[in-house]
Amino acid sequence: MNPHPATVFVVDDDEAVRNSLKLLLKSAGLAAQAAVSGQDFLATYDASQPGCILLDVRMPGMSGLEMQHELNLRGASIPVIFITGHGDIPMAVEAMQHGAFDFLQKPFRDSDLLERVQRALARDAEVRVRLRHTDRIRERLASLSPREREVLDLVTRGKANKMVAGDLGVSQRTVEIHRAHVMQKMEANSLAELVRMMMTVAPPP
Amino acid sequence: MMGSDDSDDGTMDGPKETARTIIVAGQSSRRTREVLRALRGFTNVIWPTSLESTLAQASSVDAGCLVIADDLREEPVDEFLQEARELYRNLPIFVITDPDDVAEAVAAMRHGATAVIEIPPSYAALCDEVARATQ
Repeated sequence: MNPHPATVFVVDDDEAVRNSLKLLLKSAGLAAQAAVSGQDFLATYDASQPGCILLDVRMPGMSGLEMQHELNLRGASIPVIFITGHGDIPMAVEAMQHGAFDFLQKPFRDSDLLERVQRALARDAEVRVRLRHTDRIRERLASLSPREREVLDLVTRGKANKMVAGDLGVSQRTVEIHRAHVMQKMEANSLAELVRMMMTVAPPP
Repeated sequence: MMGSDDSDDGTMDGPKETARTIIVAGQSSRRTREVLRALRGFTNVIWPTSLESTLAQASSVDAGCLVIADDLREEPVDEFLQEARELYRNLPIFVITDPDDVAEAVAAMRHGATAVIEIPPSYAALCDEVARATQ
């Protein structure tokens, strides 16, 4: 479990907007933090903190789109909802092409914003669960010996123990022992589960 | 130049096309049609008249990209986009929409459009988007 509650980060250079958004979010029972610029936000951003970002597009210095680019470079998965009073289609398309969760034009209804924030928080929670699951599989994979990894790769490609033994130049009994270790270390109950795990960490193209 | 093999009746019979085809769902404006016909890299343009027939046609030709014209606004474009994206994961799909309709553009992107282009479409903008999507 993540020790931090989900937080909505408000990044806007306009103090009145920051305050009104924080008030709205808090009135809906959501934790909110504000930053006055993209640089200010990025300086303290902790990727382990769940939540979402309400990001102004036009800000002096680093624009909202530039901040999104920087987050992408850092591999951040946190959902970004852009807010703008002067949006146009090319700007919205660029933001969405680079992975924005949503793009909202002012004026908007409070209920619309809160509904989108809730969906963004739900998406963030889902992604974090998936990433934790993937990390656990990677940790288990790292615990395999080189030979066990070879056996794993071959059996998950559909090869029977006899064929694996032939490929690796070892006895079938040796393959059975390695395979049992693989199942135990990977915490898999079946070959199908093992295949699913491998597809999770290395999906087919 | 392109467009010499245009098929305006929305029907395609015979063997699977081997040329790269741009499929334009809807009739669109004259200006849009001129721009699409002029796109380089495609040797054929077909114009299905409904979203329903578009998916069927996409499977029978070597579709290089799909354009949803602005005259299909009354049809469920978002649902269509989702379905098209499920069927053709890598097919570039462009939506032509009213200028400044940011909400519609965002909805189209969320449902799987590769890019949204305002009417009247600019030849240069469309070329850039198609080139980027088909790289």
